[in-house]
Amino acid sequence: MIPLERWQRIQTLFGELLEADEAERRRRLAILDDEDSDLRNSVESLLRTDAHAKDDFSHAIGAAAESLLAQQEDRLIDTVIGSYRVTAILGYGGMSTVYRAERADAQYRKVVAIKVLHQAALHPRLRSRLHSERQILATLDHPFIARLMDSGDLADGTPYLTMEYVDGETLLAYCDRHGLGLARRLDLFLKVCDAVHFAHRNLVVHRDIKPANILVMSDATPKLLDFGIAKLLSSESFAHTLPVTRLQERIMTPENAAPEQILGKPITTATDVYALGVLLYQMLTGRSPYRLTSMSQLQLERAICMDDPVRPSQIVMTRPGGEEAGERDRIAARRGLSPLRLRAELAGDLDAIVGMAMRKEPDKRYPSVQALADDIGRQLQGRPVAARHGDWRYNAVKFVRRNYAGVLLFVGVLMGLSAITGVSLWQNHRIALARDQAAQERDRAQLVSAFLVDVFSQADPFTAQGRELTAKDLLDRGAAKIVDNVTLQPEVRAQLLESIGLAYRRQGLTRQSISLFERALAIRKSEHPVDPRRTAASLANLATALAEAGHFASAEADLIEALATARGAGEGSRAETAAILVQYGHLALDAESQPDKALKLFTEALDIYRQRADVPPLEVAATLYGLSTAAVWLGDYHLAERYSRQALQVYRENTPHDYPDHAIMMANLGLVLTHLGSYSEAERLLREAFDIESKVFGPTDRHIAEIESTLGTLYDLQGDPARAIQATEQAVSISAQSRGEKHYITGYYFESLAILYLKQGDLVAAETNVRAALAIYAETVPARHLYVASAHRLLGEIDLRKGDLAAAETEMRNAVDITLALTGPDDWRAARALAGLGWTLICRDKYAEGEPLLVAAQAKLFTLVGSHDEATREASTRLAQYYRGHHRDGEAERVLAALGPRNYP
Amino acid sequence: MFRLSLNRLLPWVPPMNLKRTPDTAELTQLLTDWRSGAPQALERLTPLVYDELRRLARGYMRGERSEHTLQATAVVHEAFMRLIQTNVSVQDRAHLFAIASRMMRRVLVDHAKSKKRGKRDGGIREALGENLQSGILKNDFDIVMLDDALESLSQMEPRIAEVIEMHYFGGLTYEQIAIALGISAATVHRDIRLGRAWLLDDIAGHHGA
Repeated sequence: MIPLERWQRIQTLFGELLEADEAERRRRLAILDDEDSDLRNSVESLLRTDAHAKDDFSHAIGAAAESLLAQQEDRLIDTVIGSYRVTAILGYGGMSTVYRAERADAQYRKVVAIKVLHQAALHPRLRSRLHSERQILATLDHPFIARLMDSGDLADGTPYLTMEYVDGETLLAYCDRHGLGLARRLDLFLKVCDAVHFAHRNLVVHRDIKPANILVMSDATPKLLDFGIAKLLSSESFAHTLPVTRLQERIMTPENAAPEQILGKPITTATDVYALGVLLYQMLTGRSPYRLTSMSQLQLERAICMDDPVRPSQIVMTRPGGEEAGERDRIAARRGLSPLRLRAELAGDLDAIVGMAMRKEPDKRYPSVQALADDIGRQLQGRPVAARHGDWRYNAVKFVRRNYAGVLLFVGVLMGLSAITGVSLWQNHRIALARDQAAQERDRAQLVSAFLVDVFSQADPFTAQGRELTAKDLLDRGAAKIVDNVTLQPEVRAQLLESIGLAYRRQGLTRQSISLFERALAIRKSEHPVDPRRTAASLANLATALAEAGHFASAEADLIEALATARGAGEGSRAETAAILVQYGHLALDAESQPDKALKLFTEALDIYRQRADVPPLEVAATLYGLSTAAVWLGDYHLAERYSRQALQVYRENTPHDYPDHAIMMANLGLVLTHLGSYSEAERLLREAFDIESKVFGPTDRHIAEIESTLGTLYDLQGDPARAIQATEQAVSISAQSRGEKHYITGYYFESLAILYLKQGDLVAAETNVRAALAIYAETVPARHLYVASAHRLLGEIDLRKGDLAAAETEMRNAVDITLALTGPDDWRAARALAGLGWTLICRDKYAEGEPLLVAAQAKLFTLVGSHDEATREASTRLAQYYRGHHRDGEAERVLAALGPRNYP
Repeated sequence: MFRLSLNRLLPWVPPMNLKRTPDTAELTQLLTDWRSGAPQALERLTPLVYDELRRLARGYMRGERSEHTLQATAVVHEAFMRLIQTNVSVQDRAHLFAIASRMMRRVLVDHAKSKKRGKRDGGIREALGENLQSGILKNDFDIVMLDDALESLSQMEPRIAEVIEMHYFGGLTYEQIAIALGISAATVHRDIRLGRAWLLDDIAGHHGA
């Protein structure tokens, strides 16, 4: 027994150190060690045990419970129920135990299943109704329904049901084991619908349709079990027992339950329609609609009642947390498809059909199982499905309901555009009559438009949380109504165009956004007098869209004009100026790869914000993010980390957790930490960002590509080249889909891939990818760009390994020229390029030129990025090799010794 | 009762009218009697616990082996919840949670001990059947050892032992325990981690004599 005083100290220390981070813990324990080493050992042991503790106790308790349960339920074996002798236990349920039984009189061998209901599961008042219900069930004679043959009570009064014995496997297992494609799965599903529809015509609702309740026999005949049994066990006439019953019924998985079942509302045939929707979801996607992450039962119930499930086409592209890598591919493979192909097959009709069956409101689902089956029939025949008809209206209404402010979007834009038109016409009329009043009306129209701007921002995925389908529809319609509407007051029209443009841009629909921004700008410039602040903002919007599309030259021209316009407007437009500076900073990085210039622009913006009291925090955070990006380009990861953490903090405090920009900040910090070697925190951030962004933007968004690419780097640094290549391939493919195959960032991912292959010694793959990158760059970025330089250096490295030394020298010189022109000599990229050239020259026996280059570059890399960086290590190893080859072993040793502990060949 | 306290989190669940049936009233009485030292109450309680456990599923436990025993634990917790589906005052609730958790522990430990006695040769590992071996072997300890360690802990620090008991045998969440005992959820969290680590160390023999 530990003395009380000591125990109390242990308790306090344990509590405190639990909160502390690793370093702090070590420090405190070390101090403690001097004072009282026994105490230190106790606390340390407890902390260590705590860190490794899992479900140990639950396993021990569960084992005892299992054993206890195993003793039960076999008391009926070898007894006779009805005319059948019980031979084995087939399974246990919360409400009953199912036995296998054989005909006792041996006249002919017949096997049945007998379900013995647990006494307590039955409400006493229900008992009296049991008999009549059983008779109704016995009339359900359908080839796909397991027949209820007999029923009665055991000697002690326990009710039982004798049913057809079905020798088969459960539905999902059958589909997967036979590798059924989507069409055959749908055929099987139609048979299930047929059975349910038949029951409905006989006024029987199943209430508990789920994969485990459907067995498929070897000849592909499905058999539905337990028809109507659920009703015998939980009648709404005993509503107060419902929650308990529900717990019993679905101890682990209420995932197939409809919202009305969870809410205790009336259960109808529509409940089965819902459950069929969930079943179809599971058959098609191999996943359950609400089990993306491990949820508690309550969370699950809440999700069923409140959240929209991830669309089937989307969920097959995601990898839920905790799921094994490769599961996504396996699921698709069991359907004879690739994940992308599966996604394409599900998108559209099947998404809509599942969505309509699974609607929360019973009266918004298919009116009958037959209607659901008919729609699937149409889908199989390639005819238009009913679910997509009116889908827009349904989703639109839901969209409005979700975004209260957005309700007025419809009023304001879709229906109310004519009203604005009216206002402006009326206003024009008034101008002629009374200028003063016209000014007032103008103000009012201004309000209307500001209001619409607000409303429209609801349609962008940042607020609509990934339901971009409705948002895009709205945008298209809004744009169509506004673009050519000359009756609108120009001011209002420009503002509406910009709002829609912004929303398009956030959706990644760059082309559409550019066209709207251009129109808006034209309107701004034609106004008298020109409003400099609005014009500047308009120019900046256009520039950003142009830059995203890769039109850097026009983007820069517009930004310079925007900056001049905003600055010309004086003090009043300082905030606009700062915002433009931030955009310009990003352009300096993306288009010109000039981190110094970018750093200056970001810093200037930050200074402006710092002088103002009323700056929205997110603007500052965006600037900090820019600074962090510039620091990454400069290779100063510690500085980048500081800015990135500050930016993340602002988002954490000011936005909801799954706000997309918040996720982008997390991903950015993940990138920085990857380079700093904090792999576990980096991976955690990246995964979290991945989850949020795939939810908000969908699994094939450019942001996801960025994360995959960073993960590629992370895996590579952790020494897992296979995973690194896989992630980077993924980045390439997503980027090609989202940004386009001819986008410079897609090129950048190709280049990353080339580096990985080069490290693996796969020269062919490396060269293919680097050439793909160069081809893209040639069309998208200036010839003097760091990406281009880096690609040439890579080609040089490949040539070196191929033994084509002359070609290598050309490429290396090319890389050096471009890099030096962009960065000057004091940059690690320049040093790396120079080191490459130096080594190439040495390889070509041009020692006099090569050696000083390599020596200087190696020293520079050492100072700029440190001894652990790969570039430093490569240059050092090469230098040492050169020294050795020239019998200068002492110098070689010195170079290698300076590298430090990591073993190098 | 759980449900009622959780209703605050789920405003849209219709308030339920938990009826006080003779069964549950009797159960409450039995629990209280047992706590106040009437040993015959346990004799009448144990079959009720068995009954609850029997009624609950093994059918749910057909998943992965590693999930197996965890699901059995879930069954225990469900049984527990049903046992205390009764309408008692807030003051009594903590008391009842504690007693019911203790009883669940008692029933399971007694069962395991009787199994051990029954199979002297193979011990509990044999008795629990091959299905369960993985779960047991992975832990290198069983419920009887846990029971012993918990007993030592309760002599030193009764509150932590009670928190552990309520959490692992009663299946109560941190928040439920916090409400029941009138302490903060953070304290519950700390208690459970310290208690668990201490118990595991104790079972592994790290505490010495």
